[in-house]
Amino acid sequence: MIRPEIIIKAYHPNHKALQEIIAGIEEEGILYKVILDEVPEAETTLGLVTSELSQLGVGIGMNAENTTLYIQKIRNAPLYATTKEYRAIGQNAARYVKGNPLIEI
Amino acid sequence: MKRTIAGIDIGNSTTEVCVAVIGDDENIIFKASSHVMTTGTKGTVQNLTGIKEALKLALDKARMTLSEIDNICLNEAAPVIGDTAMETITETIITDSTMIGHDPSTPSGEGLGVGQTILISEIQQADDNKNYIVIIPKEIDYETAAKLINESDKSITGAIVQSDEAVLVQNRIDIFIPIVDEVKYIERIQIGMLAAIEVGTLGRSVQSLSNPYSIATIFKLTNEETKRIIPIAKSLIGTRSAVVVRTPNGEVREKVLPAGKLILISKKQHPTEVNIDRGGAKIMSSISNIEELINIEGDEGSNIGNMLSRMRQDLYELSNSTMQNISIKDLLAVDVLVPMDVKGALAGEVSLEKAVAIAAMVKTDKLPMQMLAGAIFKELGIKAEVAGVEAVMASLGALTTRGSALPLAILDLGGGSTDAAIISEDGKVRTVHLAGAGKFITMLINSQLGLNNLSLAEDIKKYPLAKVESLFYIRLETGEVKFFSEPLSPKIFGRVVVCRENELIPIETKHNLEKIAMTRKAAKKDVFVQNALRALTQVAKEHDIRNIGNVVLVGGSALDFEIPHMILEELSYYNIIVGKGEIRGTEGPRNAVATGLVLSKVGRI
Repeated sequence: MIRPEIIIKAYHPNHKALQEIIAGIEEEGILYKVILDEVPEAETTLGLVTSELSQLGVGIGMNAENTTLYIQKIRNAPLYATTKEYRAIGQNAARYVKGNPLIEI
Repeated sequence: MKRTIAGIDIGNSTTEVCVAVIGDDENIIFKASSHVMTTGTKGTVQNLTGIKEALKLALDKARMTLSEIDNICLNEAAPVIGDTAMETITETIITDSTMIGHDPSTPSGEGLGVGQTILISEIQQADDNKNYIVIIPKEIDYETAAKLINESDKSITGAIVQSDEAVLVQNRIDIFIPIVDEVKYIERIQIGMLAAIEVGTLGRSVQSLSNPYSIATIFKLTNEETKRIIPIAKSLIGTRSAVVVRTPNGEVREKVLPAGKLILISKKQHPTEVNIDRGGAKIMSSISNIEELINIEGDEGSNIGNMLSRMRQDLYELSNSTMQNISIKDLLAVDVLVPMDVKGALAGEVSLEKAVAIAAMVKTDKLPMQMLAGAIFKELGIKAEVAGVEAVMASLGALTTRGSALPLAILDLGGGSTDAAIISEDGKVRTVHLAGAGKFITMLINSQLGLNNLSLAEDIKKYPLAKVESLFYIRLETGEVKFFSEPLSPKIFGRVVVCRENELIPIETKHNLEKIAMTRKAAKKDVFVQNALRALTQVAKEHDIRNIGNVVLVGGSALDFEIPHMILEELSYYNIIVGKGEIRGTEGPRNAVATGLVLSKVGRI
């Protein structure tokens, strides 16, 4: 069975940042899965590819520098991108799934 | 003789123009009409700016120029001005931080926990055989907090967290306890005090802490003390989570503010006093019991008193009347519940305070319209005259509505006042001007939703609501779904929005769509349905509303998408035909007075 979860795909991420994203999703009560990449993907498509893997259509892509939140329905730009507000981007991924108002980043 | 005439109607909030050509055979060809916001108080020279703008708009539509106009007709504007104010009656004050009742979006656990408050960092040193509620300030993250709770052998019955981390803590501890988070001023909670914490079960609000007797049982209160905690219980109704701390001197007080009184002066009776804190219904019944009301005064120093004297002063300055000739002729009072910040609160709580909102109407013998006519001649070089009484002109204009006939009543639902006129077959006219109209509704919406944004309140009044359910579609309050080809802004995602033409304006409050829609509808009913009944009763033969056959609704607020329906529903009990005007079949309920002014020039309808 495919679980309804937000997918986080990360290539050599900052460990603390990843923890914060996960905490944001967990506080909002949504399931998630982390995939650690061995090879780098093009930065711009990372989040988008990830959103396609998610049954909820929501994916977060991250590498050492950047983090992007993509939803499958909007392919041309990330919903949010950040280099520091990790907790908030995690919460927004979850709030998007729940249909609740998002936090401004 | 062929001539071109512009009828201009200056109202409290809009200025309307109707341009027409009267042919040699006295038949009228209507060329164009327009409406703009009134500039300045009506009847003053400041109106000129608006008049010029409205004229230009209409003339451009008709491809005409100013020089083609031979004559301008102004209405003898009813010399009344409306204004609104609010008087708060109660205020909730918390001393010594005894209560938190708020709605964090994600509290955790459920049920009730009772214990002594203690900082999480000090739980190890605490006495055994006691129950504790741990306080977790934002310096201690969820991992550390969870570790401390798990390592402790003390009995912990609940937790209060400053950051938004209730679920994170709950997921990492071995016990299942209620946890409230997002408590902003956590340092204000006293340590070592008995406290109760409650998180409502799925889909329910708190049950114990909103019940005075439950609080009394938890804290072992006497009857006298139970009485004092009623404001706490009251303000916790409907929240999903709550904390109550018992401190030795702490209390929550519902302070009753001195709201002042109104003095109703009548021609026939002794002056009647009515306290504002008796509420809207009592004030309204006092007013309707008075025969021939000549003035209303308020206490100096109260909001209402200040408003009433300010209104009289304003009208005095612009009307060249003496102060004796200026009086408050009518007043509409409505009870409201206003969300206000609780003084001394811990998490930005609000409580609903009782208040009375009041719209008043000030009247003088005459507005200086003649002066305005002179100013128009000077500025535009067109002969201007004051051509007719507003109510008569409005009736003339309203009669161009197909299906209407004499005797006819009109209800002019304006921005500043609700006016009614009744015109009989022999041309006799009876009129009345009442306080409270469109602007009052805006104020009611603004204060009851705690918006602090009048233009947003105005939009809520005028346009339907919707919920942004996805980045691609919204669900309107009627249940319809509207799709968009381009994604909407994430800023409005999940929010309630007002659909103004092609714009979606987010309403950034915690109120849901139903609550906002309910507030809007109630405000409209409180003002216009009540005023429609009051106004028609006063102009009707023998003051019996059943003696009226036809009512045509005119004025800006008759354009509203639900007010005419509300009035129709209410008046249908009295067997009255009522509907929105269709002035000249093209203008809807607008332009009645301006059209009437032109019609009056040919002396026939």
